[in-house]
Amino acid sequence: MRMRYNHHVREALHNLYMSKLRTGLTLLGIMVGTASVVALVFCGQLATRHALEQFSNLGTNLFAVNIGQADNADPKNKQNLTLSQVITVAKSSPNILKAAPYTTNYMMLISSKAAPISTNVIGATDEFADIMKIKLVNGRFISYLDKTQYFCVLGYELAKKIQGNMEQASTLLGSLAPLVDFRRLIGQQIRLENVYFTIVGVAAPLPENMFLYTDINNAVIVPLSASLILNKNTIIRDVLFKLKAGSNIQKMKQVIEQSFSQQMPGAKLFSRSAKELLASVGKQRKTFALLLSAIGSISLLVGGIGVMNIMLVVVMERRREIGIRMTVGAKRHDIREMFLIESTALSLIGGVIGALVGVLTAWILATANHWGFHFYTTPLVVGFSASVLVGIISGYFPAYRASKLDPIRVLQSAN
Amino acid sequence: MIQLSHIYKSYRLGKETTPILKDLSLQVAAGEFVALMGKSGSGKTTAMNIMGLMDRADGGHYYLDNKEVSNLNDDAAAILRNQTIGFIFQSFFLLPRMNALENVGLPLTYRDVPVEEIEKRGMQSLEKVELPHLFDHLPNQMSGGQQQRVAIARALVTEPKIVLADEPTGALDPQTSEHIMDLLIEINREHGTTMIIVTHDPSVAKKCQRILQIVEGKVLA
Repeated sequence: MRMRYNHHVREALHNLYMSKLRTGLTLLGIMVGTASVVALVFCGQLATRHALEQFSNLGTNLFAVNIGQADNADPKNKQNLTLSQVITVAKSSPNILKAAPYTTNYMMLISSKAAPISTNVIGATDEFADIMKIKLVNGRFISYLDKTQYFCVLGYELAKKIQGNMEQASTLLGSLAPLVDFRRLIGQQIRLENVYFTIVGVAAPLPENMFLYTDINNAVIVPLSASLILNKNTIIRDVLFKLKAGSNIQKMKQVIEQSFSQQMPGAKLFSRSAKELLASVGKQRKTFALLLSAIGSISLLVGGIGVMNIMLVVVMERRREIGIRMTVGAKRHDIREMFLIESTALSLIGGVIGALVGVLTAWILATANHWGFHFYTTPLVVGFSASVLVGIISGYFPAYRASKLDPIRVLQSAN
Repeated sequence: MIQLSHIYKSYRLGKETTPILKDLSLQVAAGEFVALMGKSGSGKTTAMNIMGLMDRADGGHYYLDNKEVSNLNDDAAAILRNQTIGFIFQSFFLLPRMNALENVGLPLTYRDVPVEEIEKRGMQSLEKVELPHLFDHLPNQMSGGQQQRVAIARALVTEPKIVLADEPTGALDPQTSEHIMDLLIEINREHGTTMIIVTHDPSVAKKCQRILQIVEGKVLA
């Protein structure tokens, strides 16, 4: 058995080498198919990883509640959530480690260096930085000691805009450059509507995240109490919770929502948890991967048709050889194996090259999209085995046809 | 060695059935050197295909070495063919991409014989036809006579009991033709290989021990 396989493999490689152009073109078909499967599955994984990384920073024990107004609420007597009510809710379960109520509001920001910018003003407490893991480049975060004082912390991107063109050079390299120093901004003043705020800190850039709907990098953070004074219409509508690790999300959701309902009867609550978000990312990921593999499979299918086509031609051209081999004792399955090995070798070589090209493509795409590259074996294994499978399947029919040839007729026509 | 009794064979072309062999019977003893003669269309090649287990009779019995082989399946026929029969053809039928030695060794690749053994036996076989020096030549680098010698070496490499030759000298000039016939006779004498040669050349047939005339699908008594 082994001898015959050695013989077949050597023969197959020799035959492929003899018709270089044809082999090359068929290889190209398989290669493109494999490369697209590998690259697409790879990119799917990298994009997912990129999305999940947000949670690896924040942790998944986050819970957020957004409070809407009750339908029958009296517009003259708006029910506002107060700080003390949030504290009551936070005490409703020992599983709640921290609670951070915050307000959001759009205002015009006027500074000396930049044109007026419409900015998201977040009114927050210390816990907000704790929960969202906000670090500072310069200065300090808002503290409960600030009370209603007009202090503010700038988001990283916003700070760059306010600092102006002076430091532009160091940001040219984008994220690779070291963080910009905003020391000079600390103590300066900005104006929100008609109120002057003193800059006490600049936040470090925060990775994009799906949990908080607000972009902190472009926001101004002021003390919660100050934000309430700044604009009479501002109310606390959002609360972030940090839960104890391993707590039952469904149960906590019930507890928290019930507690809110007691505080504000009739209020509409919209809650979301990081765990649920994560699960939905997982679901999306599966759909995404399936879709991408389907697209890749189509190109691989086309490559497979190419292999089948070429193998049918090869079988026709080598009819005489098949007849001779049968005459000297080749069995049907010997002939079948001979051609199967040839088509498998074809797709094996195409598969290897295609897998490499696919990884390279994924790397280029990942780098271009700032996903960060991480090596996965699954796409390689999937792409490679798919190409080999395609080679065997598309080579089977021509090989089967070859094995069913009648040696007498084949040799007569060749005579 | 070979016994065909009451063999019938016809070919179907569309709706028409053309009978080729009609009640053909013949016997060839071990070590005999027999010529099978007949006009084209007489059925001599078909008889040869049946003897070579390349084709199956529609009716009758074929005994090879006293064993009934009329109804072997394809694979069993291929194995038996590989073990007991060597073939020689008018147009040599060497594989053009293989050198002489590889061509000679081809039948052995369908047995589980190690490569070194195949090469050794291939060289021995090439020595029998006096062409060991051309072992690495491709068929298109050899003359017709040399190619036919390589083909004979291929037929002999398995040390078959029977060699079937279909017009072995048909594509060769008279002088080369005679050399090839002398070689076949020598092999028959030295190894006791049963030789059956299909020919319509009387000068070839003359060199055989016995001539079987086939006329309209029957052996002329």
